[in-house]
Amino acid sequence: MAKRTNKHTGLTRVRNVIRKLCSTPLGLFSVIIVTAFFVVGITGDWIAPYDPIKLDIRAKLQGPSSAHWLGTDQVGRDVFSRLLVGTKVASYLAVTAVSISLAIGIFLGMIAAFTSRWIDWSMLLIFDTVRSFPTLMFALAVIALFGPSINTIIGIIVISTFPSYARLVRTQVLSLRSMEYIEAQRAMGTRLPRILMRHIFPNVIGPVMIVASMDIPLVIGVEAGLSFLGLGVRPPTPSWGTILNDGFSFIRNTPWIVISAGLPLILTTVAFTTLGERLRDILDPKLRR
Amino acid sequence: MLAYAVQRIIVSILIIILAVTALFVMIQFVPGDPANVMLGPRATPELKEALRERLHLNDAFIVQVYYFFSGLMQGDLGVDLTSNRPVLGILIEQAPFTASLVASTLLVTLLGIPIGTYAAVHRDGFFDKASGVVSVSLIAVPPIVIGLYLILFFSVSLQLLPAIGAGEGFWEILLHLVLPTLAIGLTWIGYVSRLVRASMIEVLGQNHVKTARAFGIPNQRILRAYVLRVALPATITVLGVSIGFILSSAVIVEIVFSRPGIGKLMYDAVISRNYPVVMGTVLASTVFIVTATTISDLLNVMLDPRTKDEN
Repeated sequence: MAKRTNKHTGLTRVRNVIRKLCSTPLGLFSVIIVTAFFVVGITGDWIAPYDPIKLDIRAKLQGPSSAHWLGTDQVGRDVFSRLLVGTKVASYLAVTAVSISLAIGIFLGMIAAFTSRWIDWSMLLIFDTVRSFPTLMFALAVIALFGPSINTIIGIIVISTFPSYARLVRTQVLSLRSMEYIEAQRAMGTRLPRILMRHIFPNVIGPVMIVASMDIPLVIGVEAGLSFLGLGVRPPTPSWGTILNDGFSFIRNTPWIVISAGLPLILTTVAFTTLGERLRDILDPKLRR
Repeated sequence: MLAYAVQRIIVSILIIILAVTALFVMIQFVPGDPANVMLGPRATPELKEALRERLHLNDAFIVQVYYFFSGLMQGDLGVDLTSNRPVLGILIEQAPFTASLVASTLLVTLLGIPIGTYAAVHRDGFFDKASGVVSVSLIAVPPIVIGLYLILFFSVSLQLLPAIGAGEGFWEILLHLVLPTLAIGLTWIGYVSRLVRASMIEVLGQNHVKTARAFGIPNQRILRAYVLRVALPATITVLGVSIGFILSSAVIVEIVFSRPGIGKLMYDAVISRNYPVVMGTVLASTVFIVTATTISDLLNVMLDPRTKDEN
């Protein structure tokens, strides 16, 4: 794989990828939903028709109507507005947790591939140890110790996802390391950090981004699960998980709260997974099956 | 093979020891006095001192780790702070509920094999495309949403299946397992069917299969000869990796369906800050997962020696 550092070809490439993405109905669907997810995540506070935490007991548990599109919950809050504002938590988590985890994973993975065997081996052991904790049980243990908060969730997601990025990057770097153009750089006396940043990193970032895109559903799911259990985002702050929990208590008589809180979760998780799959097909045809 | 197995088992034991030590280190970093946290702000100093003494909190960190591991060797996981019963006993009492849920999930997952095979044989047909979209959706959607929608559909609307508890008597227990199993398992049916489809397509394109076709051997027979050989390693790998996720989902599913089990036990312990029980459940699930992945690794190497190099 040759290095591509030319800015112009880089941009054209991105444009090509987006054009290919949008050329199939599923790809287009995923691009639209993912874009909407981030746009609503940023603008949710402004576009919500009602105040998401304002109580109106007289209007409690109403069905969908023209005033309240998705009805109201047990204390009369507008479910649609709460879902819009709840997108903020999901998108904030998706962006921060995955970026931090990516940064740590790429850094450690590149180090593991370029150090002595012993350090490499002990890093692998640590990665595998961390991966052997089931995410949610690990999350519960951490929350038992440090209490629930959004930062705790970020920490949990970072710790439970970075090892797979690190492992992926390590494998990629190991195969790149023996490539001729890297050996040539080393022979010319280029320093290691420069080789890593200029020549290895650009070749590693693609596959890792694909995995990251497919991990976002996991992030969204963990948040929803923890908030559903009352161990994530604290009420009254709306998040998809807390809204699911509100609806769960009244699932027999007023099922629309659970139905409508499940829909954004389904749409975004499916969209991110499809996006990841499509990206893999486009960027790495070898992997296509 | 034997050398590889020994090496793999040593690594697994190391992982378990590291995991438990990591948990211990985390407890050291808890802000404030753990005794305070466990007993609440209104506990008397004498009570706190007694708890500290009982949990060896006054000793040095290394001594605490030593006490924990030496207790562990004797099957002593400490005592439940609320009921004063040994944690090991509670774990053994709750384990069958979670174990049956995990086992039925693994069984259901095997449905992915026929689905994936059919899709691969009729590649690009309607079934292939439809099952592809459905699989990706099932893989993506969190089990909590699947679980809630299943309850809505099968328990609330159709009133066909029970949604609460674990049931008593063989038939009732089975009925109570259906929805929780599907809530966790649908995801993995999706995974397995995708993977089996991919491996089947690869094999069907290989020269020896083409040759067999050219000799006029019926398609059915070729499939029967290759399906299991191809599907098994793929399925075992997925199941080995999935155990951790299945246990994770079991926590949520047990709570949503009000089922007893390790997940519910852990959740209740977390809510009441019952550290010994939290430690016990984490240890039990880590041991379970590490064992499961090790077994799946070894099985895979036995079925396909080439995978040894990849691990």
